[in-house]
Amino acid sequence: MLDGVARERDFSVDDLPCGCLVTAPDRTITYANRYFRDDLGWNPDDLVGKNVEVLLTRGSRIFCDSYVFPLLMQEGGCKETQLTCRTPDGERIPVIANTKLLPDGRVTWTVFSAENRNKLLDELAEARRLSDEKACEAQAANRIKSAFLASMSHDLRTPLNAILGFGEVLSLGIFGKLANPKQAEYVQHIRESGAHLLELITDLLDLSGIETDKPSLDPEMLPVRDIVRDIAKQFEVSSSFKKHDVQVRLRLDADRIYSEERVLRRIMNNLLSNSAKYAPQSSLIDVEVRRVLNGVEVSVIDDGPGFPQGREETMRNPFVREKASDDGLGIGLAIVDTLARQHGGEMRLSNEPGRGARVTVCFPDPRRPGVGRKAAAQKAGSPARKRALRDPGRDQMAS
Amino acid sequence: MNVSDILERNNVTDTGSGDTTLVFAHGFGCDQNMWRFLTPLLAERFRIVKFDYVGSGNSDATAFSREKYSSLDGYAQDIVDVCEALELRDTVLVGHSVSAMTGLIASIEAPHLFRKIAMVCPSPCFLNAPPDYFGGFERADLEELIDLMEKNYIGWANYLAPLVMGTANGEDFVAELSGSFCSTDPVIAKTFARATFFSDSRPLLPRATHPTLVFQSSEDALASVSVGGFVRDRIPEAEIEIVEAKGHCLHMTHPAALAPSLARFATC
Repeated sequence: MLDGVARERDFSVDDLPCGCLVTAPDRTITYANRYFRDDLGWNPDDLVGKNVEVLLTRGSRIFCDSYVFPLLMQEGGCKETQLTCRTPDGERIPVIANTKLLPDGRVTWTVFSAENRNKLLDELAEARRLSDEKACEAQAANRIKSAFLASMSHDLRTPLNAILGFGEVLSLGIFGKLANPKQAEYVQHIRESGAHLLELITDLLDLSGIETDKPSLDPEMLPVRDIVRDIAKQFEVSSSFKKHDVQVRLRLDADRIYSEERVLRRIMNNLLSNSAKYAPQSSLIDVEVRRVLNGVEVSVIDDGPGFPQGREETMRNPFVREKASDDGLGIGLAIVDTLARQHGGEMRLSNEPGRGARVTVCFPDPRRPGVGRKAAAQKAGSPARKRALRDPGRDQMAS
Repeated sequence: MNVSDILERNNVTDTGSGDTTLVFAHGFGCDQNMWRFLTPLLAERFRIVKFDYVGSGNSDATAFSREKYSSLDGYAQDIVDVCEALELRDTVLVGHSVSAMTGLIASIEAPHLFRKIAMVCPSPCFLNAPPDYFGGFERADLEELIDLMEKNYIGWANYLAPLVMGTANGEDFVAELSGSFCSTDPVIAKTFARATFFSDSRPLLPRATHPTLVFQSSEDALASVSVGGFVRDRIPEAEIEIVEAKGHCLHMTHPAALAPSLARFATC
């Protein structure tokens, strides 16, 4: 009948570039077109009367029993099912099958070769497998790196404390005065270099600690003016600021900030240290604290060379510095970036027109609409928090 | 986990009425909708409890744990949880295909919950283990099935997302499943498939302590008549009823043949 209807339109079902099959309710084949001979090697007349399973590999039979036939019963059809047909010689040919249940219980099938699609799916599955494997390897390597940094930093700090301690003993003349001014100068160099080294090691420890432990924050509303003023004062009397005659100018337009004091101080210290490295002689570093729609933003602006054009984003990566000769390890901003994210906030890097670099950290306020839930989720270490945290291997910054 | 959590987690439906409760455990592939042709024939005489395993149908897929559901024990625990949540005792468990075995595990773990077990097209092991046992399939056949499942239920957006995100797939990454019959997350489906097709529950059969009725299809590509006979022979108190049919889903294709036998078995 199928042929008869089709012939009225001047073509035969045998001419169609797909397999057409009809099966009885007991799955016996009652019709198969010529596609099964031309593409699958079966004589259509031989197929009639056989169970449709004769065309399918064993895996495909299970799939049909588990999915296709129940779907036909439930929904009357099943579209775009990938199956594997077998030829009389046992060759396997991937196909796409559409099936439809007729009111009398028969099922009509169309079958298309899917060899190219199958190859693409195989490649996709392989890409996915490799991606998962690489992601696991990268995570493992990062854990090893962080553990190494923590261990190395700890081992370096122990002898350094001895150097600093004995340097101080010499400097204070506890066991007798130094013989001449040159000796005093050199002891001072030892102490300053030691202190600088200690700072670098502390940064490394902080970075590895943040990456491995991902400590949750315990934020509260803090008096931001007092804290920023206090930090700025400490910096102005520090040797690095005094040496270059750098001063801090404050513009404080917010009273409260949602953070943890230890973390806020760490962020401010890193931002000011970063600017101090690049600020020219006798210049000003501006610290702006202002309210924005979703919280408070803290910006530090200097008159240094700014971030290299087009590379602003890379400067947040750890161990990236503007020049290899720059002081530090290039992890100060990476730490700020990670801490900002732990707040549910962000760090933005840009260049200030007519001046140097501008680094802005946003501290969301949970009392603002749409902020609280996210911050709470991050604090609780929920999946949302896990996703919000960047891959430690990519959390970075320059200083 | 409290009662309402379990009822929601497993999308439990509790209908019908009667002194005897029939608990229906669906097989691999679909969900409790598989029972929709059979249960109306029994609802006037029996209380009917149906559920979806975690990860199937409209269950709470966020409760899925690859570790738990990598073996049939995890699915058996779902059956026990559902029965305990509803405070059921002495039920008749009706399990299709792999659920005949998860039901058996549940009945060994918590025998007081059950009085009898009806197994629809059961197979204790799909793999051949010559010379004594022929489950019907070689490992390569079943690996091909897993491959087909991946290709058919790849759930493109979900499958590609980890490539974009660069993260290993994990339990965090639970797709929003459509409500469609038989649709499921590919990770969950593969886990269920591996647990189903690579398990060997043959050693458990002699430990069955409840009267068992096996419904066997006369022509079943997944569980042949000899497999049904093996189950009947190994379970201490079992009988078999062979239904003249083709296919593995007797409860969908021949509900009228099953219902009277099941009712008789449940009440005697």
